[in-house]
Order: sequence, then C-alpha cells, then structure tokens
Amino acid sequence: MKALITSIICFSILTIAWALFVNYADKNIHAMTGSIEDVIMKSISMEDWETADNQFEKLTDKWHKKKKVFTFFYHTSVINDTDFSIARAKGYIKSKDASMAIGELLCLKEQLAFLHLNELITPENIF
Amino acid sequence: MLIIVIRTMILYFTVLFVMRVMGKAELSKLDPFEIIILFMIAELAAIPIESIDVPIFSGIAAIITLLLLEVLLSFLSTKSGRIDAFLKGKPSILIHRGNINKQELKNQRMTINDLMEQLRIKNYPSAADVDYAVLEANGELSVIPKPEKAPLTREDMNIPVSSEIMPMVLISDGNLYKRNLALLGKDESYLKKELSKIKITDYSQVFLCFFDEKRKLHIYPKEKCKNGMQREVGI
Repeated sequence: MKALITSIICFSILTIAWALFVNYADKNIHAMTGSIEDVIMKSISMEDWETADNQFEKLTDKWHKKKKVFTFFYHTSVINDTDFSIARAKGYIKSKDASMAIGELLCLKEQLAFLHLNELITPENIF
Repeated sequence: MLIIVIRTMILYFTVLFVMRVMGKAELSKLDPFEIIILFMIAELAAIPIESIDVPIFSGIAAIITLLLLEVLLSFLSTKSGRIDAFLKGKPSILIHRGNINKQELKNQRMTINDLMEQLRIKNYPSAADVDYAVLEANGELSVIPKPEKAPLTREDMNIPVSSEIMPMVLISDGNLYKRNLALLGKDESYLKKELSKIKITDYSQVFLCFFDEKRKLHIYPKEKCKNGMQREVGI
C-alpha cells in the first residue's frame, strides 16, 4: 500500500508540474506570438524600424527570461533553433531588410507556437 | 562533461528510489514481464544521460509512470485473482501423477526434449522419478518427485532434532546490529562478555560475529587471536 501511495504521489507531482508548465508556457508564448504579429511585423510593414527594433528587444529579453523555465521541459535543440531564429531576425531588423525580417519573424512565430503545441495531448503527438 | 556527471547522478538516485519503492518482492519475482519493465527503466534512464538535448524530466516522467503502472498492477493482482491470472498467466501441470500431459505440452509449445532438458537441470534426469512437474507462470519448472524418490529427511529416519533459529549476524566489519541482538533475546552486556573471553574489547576489532542455527556464537576477529582465527562459544 505504501508503495502504491508513494507512486501515486510522485506521478501526481509530475502531472501537476506539467500542467502548471503548459499553462505558463501557453500564456507566455501566446503573448510573444501576439507581439510578433500585432506589433513588430506591423511596424516593419510600415517601415517604423525604431519601434520594430525596440519591441523586438523586449521580445528577446522576455524570451531569454522565460527560456530558463522552458529548458526544463523542452528539448534543447528546439530552444536553440528559436535562439538562432531570433538572432537572424534581429540582424534583418537592424539592417532594415523588410522581406527577410518578415520571413524570419513568421518562422519564429511558428517555432514558438510549435514549442507549445508539441506538449499538448493530441493524437498527433501521441502517435 | 560535468553535465553528464550531474545528470547521471540525478538519474541514478531516481532509479534507486524507484527500485526501493517497487520493493524486494518485485525484484525477486523476476517474471518475464517484470524483467521487461526493468530493462525499460534502464533504457529510459540511459536516454537523458546520453543525450543532453533531452530534458531530464522526460526521462524521470517515463520512469515514474512505469513505477506507477507496475505497482498499481501488482496491487490489483493481490486484490483480484482474475486480474492476477490475466496479467501473469496460470501455472500448467506438465506431469500429473507421473503421467506426461501431452496436450498441455502442446498448449505450451514445448517439446518432450524441452521438458527432459528442464528436468535434468532440476536434477531429475529420469521422468519416471517425477510425480508432478509444473510450469510456473514465470517460466520456471517446479518438480515434485515421487515419495520413494524424494531426498531423505531426519523425520523419515526418526532422528530427534532440536529446534533451530535463523542464523543472525551480530557484528559486521565493526558495526553492531542491535536489532538482531534483540531478536535473539540477548543484550550488549552478554555480547561484550563473550568478546572479552578472547580479549576483544571493542566491536571495531571484530570482522564478523554471528549466531548459527544451533545457537553457537562464531567470532572472526580482524586480527588473529592467540588461539587462532576463530572462536566458537555456545550459549
């Protein structure tokens, strides 16, 4: 009985930790993708490079803060890919290359969305 | 490299914890299914160690899930005979009252050569000596010989026997096992008195000290005593 209770407690702790993390990641990733689509990409299309740069800096800072928690549950390779995408987008924004910047930002948005979608309990993820 | 060292330590203690929770009974049973679970746990522990890309929580989550499933199913097996039979299968009687059950051999996909091999391994080279042979759920063959072929016991010879106790280690490499001493109904003053007879004043001088089943005390000092390596003292 003791072994069963111990196992159930351990499993519950893991499940609750996962559920809390998914909720946390969902909110933050949603905020980041929203920022990319609604603010940064719009600023770039209007050629407001200063706003785009500032907002992208904020996004980068936010990502680096949240990354410390994300590394516990996400694969390192996926987080690294997101880092690389952010670095490229930063370069394109700095060099005021609108088409490349928008392309890279779309890629970054998909990567962030994928981070979250990959953790959900769906038939695609299970099988 | 240090990352791998730290991950290995974390997973080592996780697996140790899981093995302890699973318990002695699980490890001793070693049914084919339990063996597969143990292999799976080993593999799942190795993956995060080898690939630092993989989050360590993934490995721990998988191991804990296997632990829960294993313990839960074992628990349910103790509560329901049907679940137990479903999970582990039933034993099959291959030899019944000296007669080989050909149908059961066929059901188990065993040839007569397989049966003879197992009987030889169990020290019964002749099937004629066997009363019952049972293929257990864990794949082991249990053999019950015919009464006239069974090994003699003292009871058969009407030899009077005194009661015996379970042999108990009292001191191992200088460490005293107080619980074992208490189980024997003795205390430390008795033990110290016996040790002093061979000039041992401290437990650290003792490599091994135990009571055998006939209640004789055996002492193996770390250094040779004047009259030899070992001294026996009866109760």
